Amino acid sequence: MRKNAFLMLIALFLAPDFSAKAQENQVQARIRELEKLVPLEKITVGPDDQFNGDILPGGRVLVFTEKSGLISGIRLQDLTTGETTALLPSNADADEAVAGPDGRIAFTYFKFNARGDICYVRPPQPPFHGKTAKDNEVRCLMRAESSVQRSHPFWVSANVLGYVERDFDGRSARIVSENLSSGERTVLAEGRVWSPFMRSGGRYLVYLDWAGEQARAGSGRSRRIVVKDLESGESQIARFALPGFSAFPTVSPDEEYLYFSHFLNDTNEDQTIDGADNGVIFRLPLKKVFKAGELSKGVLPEQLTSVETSCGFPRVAVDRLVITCAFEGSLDVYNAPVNGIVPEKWDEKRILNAIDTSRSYQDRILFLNALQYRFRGGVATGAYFERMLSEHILADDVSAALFYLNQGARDSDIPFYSLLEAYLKARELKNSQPPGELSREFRAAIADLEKRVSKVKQGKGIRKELFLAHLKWSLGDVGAAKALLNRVDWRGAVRPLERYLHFGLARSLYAGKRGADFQALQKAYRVLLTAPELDAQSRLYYAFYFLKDTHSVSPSPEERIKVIGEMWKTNPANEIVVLFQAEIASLRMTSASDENAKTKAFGELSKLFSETRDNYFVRRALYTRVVVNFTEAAEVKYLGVVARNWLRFTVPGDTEFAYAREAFADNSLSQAYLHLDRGEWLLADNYFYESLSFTDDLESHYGFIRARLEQGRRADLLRDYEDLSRRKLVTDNLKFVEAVIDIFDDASGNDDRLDRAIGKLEAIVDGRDSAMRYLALGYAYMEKLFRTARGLDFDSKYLQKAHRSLLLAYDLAWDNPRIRASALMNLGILHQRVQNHGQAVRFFSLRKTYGFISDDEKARFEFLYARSLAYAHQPDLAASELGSIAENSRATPFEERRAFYLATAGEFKEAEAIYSRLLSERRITGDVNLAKANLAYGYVLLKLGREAEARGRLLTALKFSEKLRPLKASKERLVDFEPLRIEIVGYGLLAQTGSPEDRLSALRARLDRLEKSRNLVANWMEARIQIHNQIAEIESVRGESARAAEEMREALRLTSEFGETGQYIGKLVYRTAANFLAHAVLYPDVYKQDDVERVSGFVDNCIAAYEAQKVSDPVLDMQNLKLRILLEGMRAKILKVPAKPGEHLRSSVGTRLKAERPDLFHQVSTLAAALE
Amino acid sequence: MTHRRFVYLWCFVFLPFLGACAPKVYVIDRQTILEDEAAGEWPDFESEILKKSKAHGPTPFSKVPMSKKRESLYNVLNGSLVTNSEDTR
Repeated sequence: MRKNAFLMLIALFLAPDFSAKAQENQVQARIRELEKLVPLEKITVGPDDQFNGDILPGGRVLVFTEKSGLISGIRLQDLTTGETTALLPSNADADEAVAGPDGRIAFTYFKFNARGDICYVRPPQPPFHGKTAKDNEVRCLMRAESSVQRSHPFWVSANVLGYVERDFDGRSARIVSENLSSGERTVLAEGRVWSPFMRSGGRYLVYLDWAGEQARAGSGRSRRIVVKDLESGESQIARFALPGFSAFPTVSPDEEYLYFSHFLNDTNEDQTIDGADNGVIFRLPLKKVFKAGELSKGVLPEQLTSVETSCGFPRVAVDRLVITCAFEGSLDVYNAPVNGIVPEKWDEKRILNAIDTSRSYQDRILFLNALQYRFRGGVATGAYFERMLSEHILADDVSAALFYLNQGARDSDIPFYSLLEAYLKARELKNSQPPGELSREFRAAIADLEKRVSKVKQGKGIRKELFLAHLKWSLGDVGAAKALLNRVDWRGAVRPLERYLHFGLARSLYAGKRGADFQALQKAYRVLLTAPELDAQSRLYYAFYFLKDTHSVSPSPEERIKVIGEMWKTNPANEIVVLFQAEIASLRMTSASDENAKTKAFGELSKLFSETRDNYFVRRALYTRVVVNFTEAAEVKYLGVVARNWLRFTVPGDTEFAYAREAFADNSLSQAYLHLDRGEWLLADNYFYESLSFTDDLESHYGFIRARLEQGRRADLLRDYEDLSRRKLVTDNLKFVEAVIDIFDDASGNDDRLDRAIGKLEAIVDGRDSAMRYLALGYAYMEKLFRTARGLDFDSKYLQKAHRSLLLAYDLAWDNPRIRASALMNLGILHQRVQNHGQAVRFFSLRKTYGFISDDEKARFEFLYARSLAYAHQPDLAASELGSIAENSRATPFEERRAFYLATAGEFKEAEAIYSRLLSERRITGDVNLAKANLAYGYVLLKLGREAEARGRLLTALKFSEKLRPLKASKERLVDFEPLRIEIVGYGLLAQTGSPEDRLSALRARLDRLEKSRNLVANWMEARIQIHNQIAEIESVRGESARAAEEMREALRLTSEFGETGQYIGKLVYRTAANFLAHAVLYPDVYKQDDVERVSGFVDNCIAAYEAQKVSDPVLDMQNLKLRILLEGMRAKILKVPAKPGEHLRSSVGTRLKAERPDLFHQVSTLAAALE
Repeated sequence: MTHRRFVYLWCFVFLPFLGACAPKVYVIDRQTILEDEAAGEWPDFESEILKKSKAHGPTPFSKVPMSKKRESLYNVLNGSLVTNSEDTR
């Protein structure tokens, strides 16, 4: 009843159409209104790289390249529903798609020419339902010669395509336009050009030009953007006041702006700023490009994205900027505002506020650039260069710092900047050295830099020792570096840059070590914390690191309080004293033994929170330290109070508010999981509720539902969601809520609920690209697969859907180990069920790296993982995984399975110990398990040479197996169960034990079972031949020649049948034939009634097969000769005709064997001599 | 009975065109057979393991390593290294 009421409620609130964009709820509105960088909106989703997006006219469809492994193809995405489809049938590589003015798409196609063709096609319209353009609809530009490479298409107009044509040698290229109707070609630019773009029907062509080494030496840039005015014919090189180089130029629809990506820094530290580094999107009015020549240092463009998000491939639609970024695990296409992620409405004051509250130097650089561009005239001044130098040194972007140093930062204070340049160059060189290695060239370069430092004119405020110490450190000469640092005279005016270099080197030399090193580090901090010229932010920064470094070497609160007290005595600035007070109070609190003492210590902290509410930098450092201390001590209760205070003392208009809010929500979620772990469901549900009301994220919704249901508070749960709906705090995500409740209710396996949950999860709009949605959806599809599968038969549609959803959950949860662990577990289980054990092992092994929440969870995981490992032919690893299960979680099935894997791996001794224990303790029960365990145990004993014991176990196994009945494959059982199989194996093993009579009896019983089980045994024919041979051998040894002959004849008859299937060569056929012939030679009387010609015919077939081998093999030659000689011997004995077996030795086969393998030839010769 | 015969006839006539009538063929690997022959059967236990291991929600680790995003929330930055930083403020 309540459920129905809830459904009605959901229906009421979700009645509006969500086919496009769901209506924004209150939580989303609050998040949107926060004063923070505009977040990039992810468009494409998937584990593969997806990039180079463009929007088709009308704005509904995105076209982009998807690269999976080495294969690239073009895909379309309906932006209103997220539905995607391939543009082309997937039979050839294609990329570089660009939308034309009439909706057609031009692209580079590799179907007809490996060097690429320029083609175009009209794409299918949404909804796609899997539609692609057809092959015969694709049109490609004609090419006169096939050796030139064609790429980078762009639309010059609706009927003219442009592209790059590169000669075979790659040295020269042309940007060409070609009329689609007439084929008329015009060369627009020539040289080492690429990456062209222009608006269809537009005036400006933009492209990249390789300036060459000579030009690079002059301007410092090898790659530059050229803007060509097609009306006037004038070309202009765009010169920017930026380090690094530019790429992917494009133009806005109104041709007002040039957009491009720029690689500022060597972010991957390979000593080259290139496409592998983090890209940033910039823009600049086109008219400024043509004025750039007036500015000697180049123009300052507007930075639109942060280095941290690494973006490229800009394309500008009317209302959005489509870019490709790589900060969430893979390359994906994103939306950003056309004027960048720094909100347009921000005034100068707000940007200054954002600079203060930045969480990374990369963001601070973005804000400083926004400030300079929007409010400081948009030109690069000396002060700007100096500040950029400072920021890039802090961000450790050495190449960029060197650029700013040389651009104007060094216009004054030249001796100091010469020293700084030596330091930066040394760092740049050091970064290029492999870890732990220093090349001779590097040592020589550092020696050169040392000379340059020594030559700098000594004067007031010049501290050469500091720079020489850094150079020694880069060489790994710690002693010399320490000695030099000790000699630095810190009296007089000190530059903040020198303080930073002092701090960096002191930490490199001393941090993380106790004793004298820690004392030396304290000494350095004493200098830094009492430096008079530093601003408050810097002082607090060094004090913060002092506390952090003290924490890392002195874990005990008492010790840390003592060290802080010592530092306090040096009389540092007031804000540092407040930070110390807060640290000591938080340490006293975490080490307090009773609640009263904790409350008292927290009272001191609260007072400090209140007193510092107006001092931003103190407050931030203080909160951060307290959060670190409380998190480490798991002070759950007070952690929440701190996060709440942080939020309370931050006003919503402050850019800090968004961070404080995020910290609060993050803290709520962390605390929810902490309480969940302790089984404190009520507290967990409170914190999940707090988190969801702040974020509306699906993970919090899931946790809240789970916690409520665990407490049996379904009615409260529904009431709360009713309330959240009424207050419009949750709208579209109610579909997720309902789906999750259905999934929880589905414990009894109600298919309707599962189907309904899938329907709701598929319909979600707001959280469509949430990892949590894909996890739940993947689970639901996996469950469908399990429920509909029978034996090895399963519905591949559910496999595909479950696999895709779970892989997307894994991909999207790149920063969320909780969701990733679950997605991997499900992927492992899914692939294990469909017998794809290689993949299952891959997913399970990844899952293992995340750890487990309990011993029982680990045991369950190991059971599943071990099974796939064993199937993937790694039974030794399977046994070892099961061996890692904690003692208290080792139920009988774990042990039994471990013994089985050990036996499979040939670890018989260990397997024996487990089977022996389990059976003697009667932990294995039931006829099936007793039959199987005794069979496996008997096998193990046999392998250990304990024949009598093995025989007993095998007989027991057979006794139990007689009671068993066959079972058909089902949902739970992969293959039919056939007790006959156990008997066949059992009798086979039994035949290796006991007296000859016992063995004969076992072999006959095995043969009897085999005759009844034609479809059960893979090598049915071979098994029977082998048994007849084995019986014949025993009978022969017992002197029963006639009985042996009977078995030999049957073996030969079956082998003839087997040979007719085309298998006349092989160990079994050879042995059977040779045994038969040898026995006939030895006992000709027993065979005198046999049809010798029929036997000869069979042997001749074998010999013919040997002769037909294209490659000679001495072993086959030997078999060939032996059969020939034995046949000759048998004919002579039975038909009483003369025999000349020795003649075969002189045949070509004999001659070859004699030459290649004299030892084998000798064996054959001996046989022939015996038969002569 | 008549219906079954009709199905057989239908399959026979259209066999060359319709793969659907062909029986599904599964290759059962050696490990599956080995497990069937000699490894114990614990259906309730295995079904319980599967039920508890399939996850429709996050694995509730009480603590997880701090994510990059979360780490950056607790970042404290140095001030400007420029001597007179007010110039650029």
